[in-house]
Amino acid sequence: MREKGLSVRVYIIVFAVLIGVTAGELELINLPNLARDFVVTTLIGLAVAKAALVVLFFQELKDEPRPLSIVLVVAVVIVTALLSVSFLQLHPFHT
Amino acid sequence: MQISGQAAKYWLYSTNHKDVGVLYTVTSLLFFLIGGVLALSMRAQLANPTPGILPTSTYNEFVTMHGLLMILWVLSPLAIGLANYFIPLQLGARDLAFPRLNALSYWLYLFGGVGMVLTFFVGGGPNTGWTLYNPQTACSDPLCAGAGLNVATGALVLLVASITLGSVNFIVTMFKMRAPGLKFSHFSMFPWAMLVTVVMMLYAFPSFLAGLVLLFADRTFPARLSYLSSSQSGNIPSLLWDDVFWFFGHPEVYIVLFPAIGVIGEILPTFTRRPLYGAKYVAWSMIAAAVLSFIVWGHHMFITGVSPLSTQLFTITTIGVSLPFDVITISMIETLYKAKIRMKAPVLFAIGAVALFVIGGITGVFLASIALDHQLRGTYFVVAHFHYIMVGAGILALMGGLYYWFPKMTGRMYNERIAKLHFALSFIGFNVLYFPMFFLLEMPRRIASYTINTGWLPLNQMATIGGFIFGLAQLLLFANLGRSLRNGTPAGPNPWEGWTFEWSTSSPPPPENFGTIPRVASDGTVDFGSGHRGSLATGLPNGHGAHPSHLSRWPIIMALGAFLFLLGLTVSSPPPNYFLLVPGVVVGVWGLTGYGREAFVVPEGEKTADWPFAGIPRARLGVWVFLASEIIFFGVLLGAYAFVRTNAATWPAINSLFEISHGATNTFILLASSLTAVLALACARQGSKSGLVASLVGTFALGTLFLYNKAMEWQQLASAPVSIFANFPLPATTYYITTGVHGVHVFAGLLMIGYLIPNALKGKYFGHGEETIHHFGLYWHFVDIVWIFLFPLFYLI
Ligand code: HEM
Ligand SMILES: [Cu+2]
Repeated sequence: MREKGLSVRVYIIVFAVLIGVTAGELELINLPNLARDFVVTTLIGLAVAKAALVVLFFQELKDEPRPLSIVLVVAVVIVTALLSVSFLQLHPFHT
Repeated sequence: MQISGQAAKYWLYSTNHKDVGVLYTVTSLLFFLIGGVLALSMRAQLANPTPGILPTSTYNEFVTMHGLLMILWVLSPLAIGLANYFIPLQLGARDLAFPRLNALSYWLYLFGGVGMVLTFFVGGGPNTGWTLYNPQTACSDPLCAGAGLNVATGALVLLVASITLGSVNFIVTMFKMRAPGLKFSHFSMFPWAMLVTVVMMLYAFPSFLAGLVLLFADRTFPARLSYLSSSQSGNIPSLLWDDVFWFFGHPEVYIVLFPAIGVIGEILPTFTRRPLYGAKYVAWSMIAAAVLSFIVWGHHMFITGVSPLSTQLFTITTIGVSLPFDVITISMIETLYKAKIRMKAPVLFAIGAVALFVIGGITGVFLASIALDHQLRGTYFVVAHFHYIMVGAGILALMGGLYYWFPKMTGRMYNERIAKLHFALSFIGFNVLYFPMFFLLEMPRRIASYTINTGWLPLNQMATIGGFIFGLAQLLLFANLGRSLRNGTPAGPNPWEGWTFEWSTSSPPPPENFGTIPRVASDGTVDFGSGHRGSLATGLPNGHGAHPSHLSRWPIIMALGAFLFLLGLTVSSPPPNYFLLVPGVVVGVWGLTGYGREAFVVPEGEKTADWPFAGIPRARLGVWVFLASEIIFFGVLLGAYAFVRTNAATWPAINSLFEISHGATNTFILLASSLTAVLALACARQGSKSGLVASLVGTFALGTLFLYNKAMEWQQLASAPVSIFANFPLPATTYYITTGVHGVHVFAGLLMIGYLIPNALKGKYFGHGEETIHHFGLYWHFVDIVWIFLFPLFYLI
């Protein structure tokens, strides 16, 4: 068999990290005295990090040709633009 | 009747891109007839200030249906029909990358159109205008905006599915299946235009799909108006809908325009015998306009009361987006300037289209000015503007394309004199129809009657006369093409002495297009095999050799299943109607299974040009491209949730309504299922059958467990002593919709595994077969990622 893809070890490590981060998320919301904005931002940041791990290692995007990432990044950029501007229309200056 | 039975079977089952292209073209022309009859009825009504032929309610249904059909079921599909036929030819390919998927796209499109027309017979068509604006659409009674709107939602979902699959197909084809040596820089204008078009489709339509989901939820869920009412939009009426719709809607207007530009870009060089002036810049302009088209949507919302900052932003981008069109127009005019033009019908249509495009574009610039827009918004000026673009430039150019390529598609010439008459009457009729509307600066759109002292009557009567000239002229097209099909003089391979690949093969081309796939050398010369090297103009041998059957019955069956399913979901009030829903699922799964099991040979060229995706197999690229559209779909759904939530006065505290334990358990389950899915791939690669089967079974079990937990949670919420919908309408609707759509994706994944496991037991999926496992994994991990976001957003925040 030709050697291709990542080793099972890597998959398991990534999985362990995903579980760990999720546990961290559950811990985070129980911490006292954290500003809500901070919690929200952190949780979304952690979700992005988890998603990145899945994309790069489970979907093996890191081994695909670079232009493929562009296809996906464009999609992410487009939605982000849509959402940010939609909110901007309502809240021109952050309150 | 033996023969016609066979012919019917052939057309129902064919997956060959040329056959599907013909189906698309013919079907779009039929919808053009329907849309045209609606339009003429409206014009007949407006020739008279008082309600007469059409009562206001019927008028509103007609105007809505007319817009939706013409834009979505005529313009784009006509372009896609031509693209189906000619893109593979122009690329030097034997077919599209996924022929059966292509047939599926067509049938979804057709059934969607049937559903659309059906709305007239199930309680009235939608009457909201093609933009499906709220709040007309979503009022407390689900039937208030025409019972048919629910069915229309389903029909539009079929259309979006068709378009999304189609754009994936075209993107993969154009990136992976070009003839050896064929670079993008060798492309003529039609392939360029279609490439840009399908990319825009891929990224724009998912937003519309998400919008349709929101709309449907607002109309049918117990808590009406969760997403699209004004209180959810910061007291700006349905701001969310405006955003979601126009984010799709603006790219959509380019989506219907660009293929026309591409066709003009083919016709002008052929009939002026000179290359398109600055072709490279035209291509780049389309790319630039496509990029910008995603950040100008706000110019449709200038007067909705959104913040001035965003209005200014959108004014700037809108001015920016008109620049590329200047380049395009200049190039076309320059190509025509002092050219010796062979005045045949195709080029007449192309020149007419350019002229009308200029008028449409200039008036568009007027509308982009906020000051003027305040005056003109919602008036007939806007109607004139976009008809100049969509009909004047769009339809006329595509008809030019139809004449241009008719000899290639049928092997026969059309009648030139009738075609010229068709052009003359169309052009005159068009201007008599729409030019007066520029002067109806005060007449609002979408009204069925007006008072006589408005002074609008004469201009309206003139428009009606123009409308009938234009409409009746189209009968010439049908008559001409219909007759020429049998009686036209034989065309030969290259009647126009065209330069692109399609003219190098016979008319019509053989099933596999070329005997030998042409090769393009780096200096741009073309080698057509068998030592025949030379210019494209000479016509070449093409092998009628053996080829595998390209018939498959599964695409139409799958599309039928989807149609019944969506009809069942939408036609009754309250939904669903199980007599349609259940057969829909059965037929759909039957079709899916048959599709999966069928050994279908995709005709392949030799080594193809596939920059920049050389390292990635065709089907995998297709899956990735599809996932890009899913990113936008879920992004918009989640964004809508965030929108509703940030504008809601109150929201239940965490862990009160949605228990964290449920969400957390399901998160761990789904993460674990991703691990088993990736282990399945590893096992397939290592050739371990037992490992593969075990991993797949594990994934299946975890996925099932996830859905089971979900169902328990839903059940628990629904049976709570205080009704969740009564007390927490917004959290309830957003939660059920978002997790529901996600759950459907998990379910689809389970179906796939259900199909993979038996095959894995038979020992497939090793060697090349491992790709299949990889594809499944890509999808499954994506669904996992969606949940990674859902979990904190719904349970932890
Ligand atoms: C060339 C530059 C263009 C500019 C600056 C422009 C600008 C605008 C603006 C500002 C509006 C909103 C008018 C209003 O509702 O008050 C509008 C409407 C519209 N435009 Fe254009 N446009 C341009 C080209 C096009 C093209 C190329 C198409 C189609 C292929 C198109 C199709 C439409 C349609 C369909 C509407 C009406 C939408 C509706 O409310 O139903 N426009 N345009
Ligand atoms: Cu626009």
